[in-house]
Amino acid sequence: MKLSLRLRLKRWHYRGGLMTIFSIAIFIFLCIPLIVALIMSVNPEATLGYPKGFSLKWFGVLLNDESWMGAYRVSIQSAFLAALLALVNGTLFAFANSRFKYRLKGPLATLALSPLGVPGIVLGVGLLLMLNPLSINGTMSALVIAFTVITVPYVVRTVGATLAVYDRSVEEAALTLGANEIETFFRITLPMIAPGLLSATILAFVFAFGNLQVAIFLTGIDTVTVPVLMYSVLEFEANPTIAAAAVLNIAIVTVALVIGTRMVGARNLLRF
Amino acid sequence: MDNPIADGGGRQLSGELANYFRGRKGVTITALVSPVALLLLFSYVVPVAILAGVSFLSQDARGAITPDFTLGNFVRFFSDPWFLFTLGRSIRIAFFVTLMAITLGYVAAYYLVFKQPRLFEFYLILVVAPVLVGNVVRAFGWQMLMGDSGLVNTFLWKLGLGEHTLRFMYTETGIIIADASTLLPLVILILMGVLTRIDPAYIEAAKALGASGRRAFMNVTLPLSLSGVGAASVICFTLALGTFEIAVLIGGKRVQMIAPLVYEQITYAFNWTMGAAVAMVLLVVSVVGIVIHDIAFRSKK
Amino acid sequence: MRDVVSIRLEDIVKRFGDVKAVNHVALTFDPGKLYVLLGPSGCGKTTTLRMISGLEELTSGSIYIGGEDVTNVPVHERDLGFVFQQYALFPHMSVENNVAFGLRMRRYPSTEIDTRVKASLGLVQLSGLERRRIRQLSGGQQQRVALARALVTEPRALLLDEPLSNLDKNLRDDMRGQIRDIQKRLGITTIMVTHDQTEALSMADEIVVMNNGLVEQVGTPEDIYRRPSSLFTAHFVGAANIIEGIANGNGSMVDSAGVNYRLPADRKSLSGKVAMMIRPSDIQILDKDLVTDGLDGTVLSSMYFGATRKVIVRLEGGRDLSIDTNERETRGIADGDIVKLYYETDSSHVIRIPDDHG
Repeated sequence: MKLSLRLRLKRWHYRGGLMTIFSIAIFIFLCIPLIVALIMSVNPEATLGYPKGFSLKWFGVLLNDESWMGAYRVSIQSAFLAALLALVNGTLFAFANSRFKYRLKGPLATLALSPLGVPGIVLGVGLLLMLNPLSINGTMSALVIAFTVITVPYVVRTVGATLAVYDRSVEEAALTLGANEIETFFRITLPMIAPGLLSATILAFVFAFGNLQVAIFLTGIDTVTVPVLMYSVLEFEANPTIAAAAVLNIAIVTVALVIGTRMVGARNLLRF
Repeated sequence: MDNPIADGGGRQLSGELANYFRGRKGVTITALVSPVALLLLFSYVVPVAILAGVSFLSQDARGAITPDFTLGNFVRFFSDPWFLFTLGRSIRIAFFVTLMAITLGYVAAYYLVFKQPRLFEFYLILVVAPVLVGNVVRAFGWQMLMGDSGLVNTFLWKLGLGEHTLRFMYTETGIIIADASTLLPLVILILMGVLTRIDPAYIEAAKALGASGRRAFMNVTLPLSLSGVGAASVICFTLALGTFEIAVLIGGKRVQMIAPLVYEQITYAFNWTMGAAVAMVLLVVSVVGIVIHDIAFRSKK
Repeated sequence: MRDVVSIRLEDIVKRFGDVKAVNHVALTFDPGKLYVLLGPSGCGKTTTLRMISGLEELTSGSIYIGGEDVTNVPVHERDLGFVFQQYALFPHMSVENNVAFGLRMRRYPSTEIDTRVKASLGLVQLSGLERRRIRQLSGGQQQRVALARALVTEPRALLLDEPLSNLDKNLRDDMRGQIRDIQKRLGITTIMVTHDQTEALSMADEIVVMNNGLVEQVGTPEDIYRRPSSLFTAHFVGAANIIEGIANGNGSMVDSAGVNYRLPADRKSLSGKVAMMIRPSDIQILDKDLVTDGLDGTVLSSMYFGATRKVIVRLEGGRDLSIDTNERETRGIADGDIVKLYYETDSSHVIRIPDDHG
């Protein structure tokens, strides 16, 4: 059966064809800066621009550059420690809030999520003003503290949402079967919410790793993070190393996402 | 052996701990909650309070902060045309970014939720991955794309459409486009949450009652999602107002925004009290946005 | 198998804020019997069960299990089996590990754990599903895993919180029989909570009817159905026609419309405000030409249920009675028919209504 072009177009539109194309355009709009970074990173020349050849030499330069590698060490260490701290403390907090009633519960829950609504710059300057007189500014501890504060909301929210899925009665069942409260927490509650914990850890790590607005005020000479280094390189002496670094970041995040998706599925990982 | 639960060897520690906490509900809750509470108190509430305090102080000639209360920083902010212009521009940019991100975000969220594409999980990762890669990398990408000899203009030039045709770098348009792309993922995720909660039965019902797809959308889906759109707009606006990476790397010194202004005051001008005051203005405008939304939302209820 | 135990509640109270969810309840549950706590939602039945298990603390009172005061014994040391309404299976464990959990907590050797888990899954007819994940099970299978998990440790008593309310009707009927069967075989003291009167009547040795945090009545299913001690029980358990009136002390009562009713033999001497309960199934509909005595009425409506037919008849005084008849006996009945109603006086039951005004 041959349909007229108009009719076929109409059908296609009815099935959401236009919307599909439009949506895919939006997804491309989201990802295009990352694609650009990829393209720039294979430029054999020493200028940042449209590559006229193909070379992976800037990745070699990146991996042998002590300041870049130092920044990766600092970023990975501080983001990992912060994610761990946020995970442990945020989980206990979310557990208390989902299983107990207490007087300050509402205000504390709001407080724990509120850093999400505060511009990073504001928190950065505040921490700078507080930490500078204490002379721990520029240390690893300063970074870890700051990253913990900005990642705790993600942990509280993700773990809280996971805990809400499971009825308190699952824990009660363990109690009636002879497990005490602490055994119940470690043998039932934690394993049960493991996907949420994994998702929270990955999100916390990745957000701490990519943070510039807070870190820029708190880094010292020995504690330059990757985003801070990228920022200063972009401001002063841009070359394709930075594109290579951007690609390395993308790779790190992609690996984290793939691992997470494999383990708990994209919907669970991203809370959908 | 009447009750085999009571004895059991290797569980003494957890048993004793559990015995200690049982019946001491206050102690238990305090133990669970206080790490986060203390962390937030000392690395979030106190710093912001210090920031607020410092914004009312001034510095002496050598740059040391003097403990004298003054409104000078705020007076200067609101009487200096450059500061005021920067604030106004930030609000203007944030407004257009929000408009663009909400419009595009709504389409994408609607598509993901209601059209149930086969590649759903893949698209979801496409949406989230850019956020996770971080703003610096994305700002860098946009810089490369938008430069006078960037990819877009190079492409146009190759097509023979002239040299340096489009100006994005150091323009508000450039910032708005790049920033909308940066904030889109969050908007999409929030709107997906809103749209998922709409019972498809309502839409089916509207269609069963003879509404066309478009009318069902205008009369059912859209109104039901409006409060979510409001929430997403406020969050998006607040974040756009605090734009830093994109503002610095696309806008540069020529298109100043308020977050970079804070950074400049602190890092280059060493004017900490002024920086704190500008940061306070930024914080207050953000909070005002949230409060206005709250009031509007409550009055609708 | 351990000794079967009794459970005794001494004047227990549970207060949530200003609300007394359980208000001075005293009950004794005899060893080996199946008790059902029956009542509408919010009557305190689940709270009572949770207090027995230790999941809820008492505001005041004491609980004894097998003569031992367990009021302050924590849940995990009470050694009771508990089946939850939503089953509360551990979602991250296999069927086998769910059932084995209680045994592991009791530090049983692994060979014994294996034997017992097998036996227990056999008991609930789930052999072969040991390795399944919880998510892969149907509702009925999950229910049985929950039962096996609660029974495998040979607890002193079994507590069931609305165990069948999440199953569809056919499965529910089937599970009723299975649970009762297992309970009898193990001879375990069992307390079950439900709001479903059919479930209570068909399963219980004794029913405890609760309302507003108080015990309304304790008795065998027949007691509860035939001889309710309060209007609440009469209404809540089974359908009932309730006729309120004044008994005159000489074997009959008069309702507000002036119609006279004879009182059953055991209540002839009653006087004062009373309510007469006649079960809809105890009333027969007869052709008006065949009998002379009985109540005159007009068919108002009828509803067909297959095996039975529910007929509403309006009496001469204007009162409506609901009647459950065998479908065959009332075939051809039509709205507006004039009929005679007949019931045996001794099948009715009379409840004295306490005088509120002193």
